[in-house]
Amino acid sequence: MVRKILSIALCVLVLLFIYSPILLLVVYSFTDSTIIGQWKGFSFALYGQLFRDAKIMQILFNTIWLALAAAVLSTVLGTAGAIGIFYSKRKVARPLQAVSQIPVINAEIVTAISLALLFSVVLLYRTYFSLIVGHMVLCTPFVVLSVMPKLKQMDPNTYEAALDLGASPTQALFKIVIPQIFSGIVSGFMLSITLSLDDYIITAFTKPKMFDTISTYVYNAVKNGTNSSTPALRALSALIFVVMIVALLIFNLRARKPSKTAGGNQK
Amino acid sequence: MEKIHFSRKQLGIPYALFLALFVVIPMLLILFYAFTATVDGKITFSFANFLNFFTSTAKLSTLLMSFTIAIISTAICLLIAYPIAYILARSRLKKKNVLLMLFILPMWINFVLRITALRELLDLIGLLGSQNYLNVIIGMVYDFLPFMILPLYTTLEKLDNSYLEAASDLGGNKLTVFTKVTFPLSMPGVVSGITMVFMPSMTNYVVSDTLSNFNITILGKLIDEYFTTYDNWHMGSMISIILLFIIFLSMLFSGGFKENKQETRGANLW
Amino acid sequence: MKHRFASCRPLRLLADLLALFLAVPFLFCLAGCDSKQETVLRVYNWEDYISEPGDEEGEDEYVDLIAKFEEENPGIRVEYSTFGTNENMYNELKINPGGYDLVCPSDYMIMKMIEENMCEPFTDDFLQNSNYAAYASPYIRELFELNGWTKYSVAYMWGTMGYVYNPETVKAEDLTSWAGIWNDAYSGKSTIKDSVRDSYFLGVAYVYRDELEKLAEEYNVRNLSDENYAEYNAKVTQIMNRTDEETLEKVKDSLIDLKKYLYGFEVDSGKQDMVTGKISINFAWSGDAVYTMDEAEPVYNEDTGKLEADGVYLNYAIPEECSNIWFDGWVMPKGANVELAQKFIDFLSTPENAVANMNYIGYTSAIAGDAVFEEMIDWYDESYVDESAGPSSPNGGRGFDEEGHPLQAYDLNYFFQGTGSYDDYCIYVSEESLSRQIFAQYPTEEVITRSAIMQHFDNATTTAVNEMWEEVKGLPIPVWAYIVIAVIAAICIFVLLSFLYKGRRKEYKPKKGYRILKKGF
Repeated sequence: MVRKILSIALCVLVLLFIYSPILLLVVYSFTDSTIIGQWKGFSFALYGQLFRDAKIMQILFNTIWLALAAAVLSTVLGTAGAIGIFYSKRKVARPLQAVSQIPVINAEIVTAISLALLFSVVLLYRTYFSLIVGHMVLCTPFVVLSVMPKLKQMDPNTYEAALDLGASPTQALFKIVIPQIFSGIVSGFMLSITLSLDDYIITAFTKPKMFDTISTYVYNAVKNGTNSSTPALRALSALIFVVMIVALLIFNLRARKPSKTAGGNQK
Repeated sequence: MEKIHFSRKQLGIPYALFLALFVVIPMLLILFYAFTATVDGKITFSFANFLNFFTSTAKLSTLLMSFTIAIISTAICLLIAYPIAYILARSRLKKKNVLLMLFILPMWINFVLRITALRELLDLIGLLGSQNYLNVIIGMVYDFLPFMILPLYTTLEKLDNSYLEAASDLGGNKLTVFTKVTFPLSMPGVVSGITMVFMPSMTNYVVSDTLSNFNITILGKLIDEYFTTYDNWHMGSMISIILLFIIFLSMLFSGGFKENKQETRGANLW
Repeated sequence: MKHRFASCRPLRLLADLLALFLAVPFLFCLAGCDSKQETVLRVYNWEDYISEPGDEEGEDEYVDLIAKFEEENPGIRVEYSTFGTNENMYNELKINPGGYDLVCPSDYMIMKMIEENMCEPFTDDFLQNSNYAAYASPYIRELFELNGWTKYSVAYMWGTMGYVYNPETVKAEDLTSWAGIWNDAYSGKSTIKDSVRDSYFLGVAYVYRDELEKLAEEYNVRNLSDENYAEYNAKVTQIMNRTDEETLEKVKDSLIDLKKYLYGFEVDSGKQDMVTGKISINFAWSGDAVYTMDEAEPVYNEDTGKLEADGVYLNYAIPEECSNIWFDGWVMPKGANVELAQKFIDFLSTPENAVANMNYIGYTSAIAGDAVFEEMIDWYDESYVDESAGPSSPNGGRGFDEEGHPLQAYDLNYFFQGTGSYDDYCIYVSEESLSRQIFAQYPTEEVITRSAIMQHFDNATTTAVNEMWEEVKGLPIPVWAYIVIAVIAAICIFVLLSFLYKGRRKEYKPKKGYRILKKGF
C-alpha cells in the first residue's frame, strides 16, 4: 500500500515537473499582459495578435513547409537507401550503415558546422539548398533505421514468388516490398517531421539569412529580449502544445491497438 | 537472380552518394580545418589549435564544466527515469501506454518552446539569474528526461517475469532480486538512455544560454562561438574533433554503436 | 542484357526523381537571386536599423524608407538583408565577395576593412556636394577626418556607452564611476553586454579608473574648444585601447570578479529586463538607453493628462572617468555599385529621412540640420510656449516652464552649428531631465571630451582578447564542480581497482544454465 502511494506520488510529481511550464504558458496566453506573473483578466487578445502578426504566420508556414519537404525527401531517399543497403553484400552494407550512423550519434553542433564548412567551400552557404540538405542529413538516417527492421522481418520469398509469377522488378518492389515495410516508412516519415520541427542548431547554421523557423525565431527572441515584448509568442506556444498533445493522444489511442498486434513486436 | 539483386542494390546508390557528399566530406573538412591555420590568407598545416586547446585554461575548464553538468544531468535523469519506467512497466494497468505517453509527450514539442516556457517558470519562482548552474541542470533534465524514460521502459517491459520469480523462489529478497537480476537485465536500456542524454547535455547550448542568461559556456556553445563570433573556424573544428573523440570513447565504452536510436527517439510510437 | 536495362528503369526514374527533388530548392534560390531588368542595390545592414512600416496595428505610422527610395528612383530595386554582429557581416563579405553594394559596420570593423583594403572610396563629388556633406554634423565629420576614414566611410548612427539605471533602487552617486556595478548592493541586479569588445571596454575603464580620474583632474577639460582637449582626449584614448598582457590579465580578473554581481550577460535583452524591472542597472549603448527609458516611462493621455500605463523614469549615467564613442557607418565593399550606393546614402542623409530613422530606431543619427533639431525640440524641450504671443525672445520664446521659472539649457551647438539656420542650438529641459533621454541621445560636450574611440585590434590582439573573454565566460569553476569531479574520479578508480582485483581472483563460475539464460535474453 505504502509502495503504491509512493509510486503514484512520484509519477504525479514528475508529471507536474514536466507539465508545469507548459501549463504556465497556456494559462498566461489567456491574458493580455506583457510579462508572465501579471494577470490582467481573461482575454483572447494574444490569440488575436498572433493571427494578425504576418511575420509569425510566415514563420509558422516556413517551419511546416520545411518539415514537410525535408520529411518527404528524407523518406524517399532513406527508404531507397535502406532497401539498397539491405540487398547489398555485407562488404558494402556494413560501411554504408556505419556512415549512416554518424549523424545519429554525432552531436548536432558538429553536424551543423561540418555542413557549414562544406557549403561555404562550394558557395552554397545559407541557401534553401543547404537548409534542406541539412535537415535531410538529420532525418534520413532515422528513416533508414526505422525501415531496416521491417525489411529484416519481411519474408524474402514473397519477392521471388512475385517475380516467378511474372511481375516486373518494379511491380514487385511497389506491390510486395513497399507494402510490407510500409509501417516502417510511415514511422520514419513521422520521425523526420518531428526531428525537423524540433531542430534548432542545424537550421541556425544552414538557413538563408532572412529565413526563420519557430526555433530560430524564438531563440533569437530570447536572445534579444523580445520574448516578453511579443506576448503573442505565448499564444503560439500554447497552441502548439495543445495541438501536439491532442494529436498525439488521438493518434495513439486510436492506432495503438491494431499496431500492437501487427507491428508491436519489432524484433 | 543475379540481375534482380543488382537492381535492388542500385536503390542504395543515391543514399550512398548523399552520405559521401553530405556526411563524409563535411567530416573530412572538419578534420582538415582542425589541423590547419589561416596565416595571411593562406591555409597552412598546423598543430597550434590542438596545442592551444590543451593549454588554454578557458577551454579546459569549459570542457570540465560541460562534463560535470552532463554527468549530473544524466545521473538525475537516470534517478528519476528508472523508478518511473519501473513503475510503468511493472504496473498491471490496462492503459499504461497512455500513461507512458504522458511522460514522453514533450519529445514531440519543439524544445526551444519548452525551454522558453521553463525559463518563464524559473523566472517566476526567482531562480533565473541567481542559480545559473542549477537552472541549466534543471533544463537539461527537463529536456532529456523522456529520452531516458523510453528506452528504460522498453527494456523493463520486455523483461521476463519468470526470471524475477525464479530469483525470489531461490531465496533472493527484493533488494537482491533487483540488484542481481532486474538491474543487470535492464542494462541495455540504461546504456541507451545514458547515450541519449549525456552527449546533448554537453552540447545543447540553447538550454544553457536560455536558462543561465549566457552566463555558462558549454562545449557546444564554444564551438558555436568560434564559428559565429570569434571567427576562427580552425579552432571551432578542433573543438569539434575533440568532441567527436569523446563521443567515440563513450560509444566504445557503452557499446552503443549498435543502439536502435529510432526506438529511443520514439519512432515506434507513431 | 535487355533484361538488365529493364530492371534499371525504375531506378533511373527514382534517381531522376531524386535529382529533381534535390534540385527544386536549388532552382528556387537561383530564381530568387536572379535579377530582372531593374538595377539592384544590395544593402546589408543591422537588424532593425532603418525605418520600416510598423507591423502591428495601432502603432505610430513609420516611414518605409526603402519604399520611398524606390519610389523616388524608379528602376532601382533595393535588396535589403540584415546581420546580427560585425563578425557575421565580415564573414559574409568574405564568403560572398562582391555580394553587396553597401554595408553598415561599426567603427572598429570599418577600420579593419579599410586596413584590409576591402572598401571602395567615395567620389569627390559625393564628399563635397551630397546631402551628407551638407547636413552631417561638423563634429562627426571632423572626427572622421581626424581618423582618416572620410574617404571610405560615412557615419550613420553614433552614440556613447553608459549605465541605464533605475533611480528608485540605485543611488546616482554610485554610478559616477564604472566601478559602480562591482557592488554587493546591486548583486543580481545588473547586466552587461555579451560582447567581447564592449565588456573589454568596461573592464579597462574599471581597471584604470584611478589613472583616468587623475588625468581628468589634471587637465580639467570642459569643452571641445579647450586648447588641451586634443592632448587630453589622446591620452584617454591611449589608456582605453591598452591591450598589453598586464592589462588583459587585470581586465580578466576584474570581469570574472564582476560575474558574481551580475544577473547575466545579455545580447539584447537588457532593454526589456530594465523595463519589466527584472534588473536595475544595464550597461548599454546610448541608443538602446533611449529606447529603454521611453519604454519604461509612465504613459499619460495626451488630452486628459490621465495616467494610462504605469511606469518608471529611468536615468542614463556616463561615469566620470571616460566613455566610449561609437559609430556605425556606411562603407561600400570592393566591387560595389558606387553610384547607386552613394545615391542611397544621399537619400538617407536628408534631415527629414534622418528624423524618420531616429523616430523608428531610437538611435542618434549623424545627420544634423534644422529638421532634426526641431524634432528634438518636439521630443524633449519642456518650455511652455504661448502660441498666441508669438516668438518674443531670441530662442523662440523657449526657456521657461509654465510657471515662468527658467529651465536648464542643454547645449547642442557643437553638433548642430553650421548645418542649419538657428543661431543657438539649445534645448530647454527641467533639472531631472538632464539625466534622461536627451543625455543619452546627445552627450554633453564635456562627456565628449573624455570619450575614446575603441580602435580595431590586430589579429594577434583579437585572439588574445578573445581568449581573455573565453576565460571570463568559462571561469570560475565552482567548488561543487571540483567535488563532483573528485567523486566521479574516485568511483572510476574504485571500479577499475575492483576489476583488477577480481581479475586476479579465480574466475567466478556461473551456476549451471545461467549463461544460457543470459544469451536467451
